[in-house]
Amino acid sequence: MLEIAAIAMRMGVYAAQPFPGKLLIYASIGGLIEMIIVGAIVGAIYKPAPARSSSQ
Amino acid sequence: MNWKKFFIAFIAAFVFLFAFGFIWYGNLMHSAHQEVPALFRPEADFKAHFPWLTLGEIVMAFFLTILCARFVPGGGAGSGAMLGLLVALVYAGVHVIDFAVMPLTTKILWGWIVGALIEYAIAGAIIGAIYKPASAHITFVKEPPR
Repeated sequence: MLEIAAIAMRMGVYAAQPFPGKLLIYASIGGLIEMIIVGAIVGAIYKPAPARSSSQ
Repeated sequence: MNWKKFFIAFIAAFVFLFAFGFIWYGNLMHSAHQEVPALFRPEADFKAHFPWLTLGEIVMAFFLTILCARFVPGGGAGSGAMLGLLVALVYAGVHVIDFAVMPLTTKILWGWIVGALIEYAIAGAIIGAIYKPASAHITFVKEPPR
């Protein structure tokens, strides 16, 4: 979802900068694949710390 | 999902993002952009591509609203602003990469980063202040006896 928002940001950049449309498509597809894989890797590795048990 | 509040928050976020973009990037940073004119479309070409900019703002506002509704389900301006700030920091990384591959000036780089931080923090706060989950979807958890 974050990457789709980033693609939208690239659309704004595309409107202002003289890029060819092909570059927008390639960068968007590449970014989408990249962020899905990065999200999956981080999600697979990161686990929240277990809740501390306080014994008094 | 509270679709009525979602739609109002989305429209409010879009209006803010559009207005902020016009003021910050279009006016305040205009002279900085003019330092590297080869990197930007001429006025007529920019106008021809303006629908892309509008579509980009719509999509950004829509997905920022989805992110807030999904990951800040309780709503609130402060929580929304924090999520917006985190999104902006991801975009700051994108801008640093842009700086590495394109002949941007440091003034443009910092202008884009600071602009994104302000823009998304405020947009997140607006969405968080407006969007509230539908009351039927709020789950109350009874605390166990201590």
